[in-house]
Amino acid sequence: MALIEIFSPRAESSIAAQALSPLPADLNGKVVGLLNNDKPNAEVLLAAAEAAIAQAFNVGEIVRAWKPRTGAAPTPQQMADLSRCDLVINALGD
Amino acid sequence: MTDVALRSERFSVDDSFEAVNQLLYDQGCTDGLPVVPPTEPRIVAMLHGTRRPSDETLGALDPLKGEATVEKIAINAVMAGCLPEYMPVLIAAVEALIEPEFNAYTMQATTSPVGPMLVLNGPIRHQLDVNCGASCMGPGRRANATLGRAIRLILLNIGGGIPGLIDKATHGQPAKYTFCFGENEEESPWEPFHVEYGFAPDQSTVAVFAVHGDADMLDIVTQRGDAMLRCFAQTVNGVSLHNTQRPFEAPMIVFSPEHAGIVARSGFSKAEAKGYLYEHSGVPLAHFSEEMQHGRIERWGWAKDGVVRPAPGPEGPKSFRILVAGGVGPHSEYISCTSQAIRPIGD
Repeated sequence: MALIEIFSPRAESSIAAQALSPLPADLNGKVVGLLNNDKPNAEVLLAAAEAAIAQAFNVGEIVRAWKPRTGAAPTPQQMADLSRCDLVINALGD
Repeated sequence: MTDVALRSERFSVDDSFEAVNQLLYDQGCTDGLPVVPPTEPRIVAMLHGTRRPSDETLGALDPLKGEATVEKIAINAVMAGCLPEYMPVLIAAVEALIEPEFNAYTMQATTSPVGPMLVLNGPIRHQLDVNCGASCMGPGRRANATLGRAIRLILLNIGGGIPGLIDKATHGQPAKYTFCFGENEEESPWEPFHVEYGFAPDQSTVAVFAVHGDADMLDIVTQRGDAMLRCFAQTVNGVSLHNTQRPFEAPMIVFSPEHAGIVARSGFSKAEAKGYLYEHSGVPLAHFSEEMQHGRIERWGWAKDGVVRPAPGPEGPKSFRILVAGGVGPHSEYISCTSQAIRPIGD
């Protein structure tokens, strides 16, 4: 059968591919962020994560942020606060 | 546009409608329905529907941050079955989707069934034969069917809203295949939607809304506007409706011409109808679950005087969206809405 040429409807992403940052070897003395996405039970999940981390490590500081709306990005102030962190745990989904 | 050099990736495939569709379907580029093969002659013809250069980028569409070039819009428009003269509408609609206030990211990556709804105002409705009357939200008119479909394909292929992967909708909704209609300005007793936002009546616009679903509001007998608005407000008061559970924005009421006439003849302007709907909306706190009352409503202060209204806050009384559309019949539509953006249609 003869061939036909068609064009892809897919776009190229404007974001350069990024690798995940390496996890710190341990969290002793580190700054850990807990970002709540304002979904029910995010607070429960993050509290459990904080408790587990506190058992295993002597963390330097905990930075907590609670987005005002799930669908929006953290506020500029929240982003500035979280940028100090060595690790941020982000509660996602429902 | 006399000479167009297409830049998109090309595929060679057996020259059959079935083979082209199988390839695009396997790549996840379709909505599950057959598409028009995006060949060079069709894409070039589509690009002749706009003066914008094919390599112009309107911006990045969330969440993939895909580059929304005029060429890519044209390819998806071909697949959807659009006519070239629809391109200015699609370009304006994509510009609306990319506006930060619209927050396409939220619409694309959520468990909600939310999808885009396009509403056209101004002369473009007649120029493109957009259905504003009977069955305007249903099948039958090419412009309505393909404009909405093209925007969905664009959100999929440029924005990356892949069902099940990025688009985590629990159920989705049928309107995510296509949802586009024109306002029935000619049979409306009120100013058109776009005029509320500062556009001239004879200016053509497209408004894009993020909608979560709709419901028929039947009223065969009520002849007083205040009574009808009170009844409609009760539809809005559904405890589990999105605009109640997440009361950041108010929903939309699409009045049939008949219902709009009853409300207007009772003395309500559009603004007064909005305020009346707002006053008579409001779900008593006790109707919510305990988790909702204490975990969300109290935390964020959504209740006032013991009720939760859509869009609490000083702008609340103005926040309901009102349109007039449809044909003969005692049916209006409740549409659950969150974000919106409106753009003029150029060329």
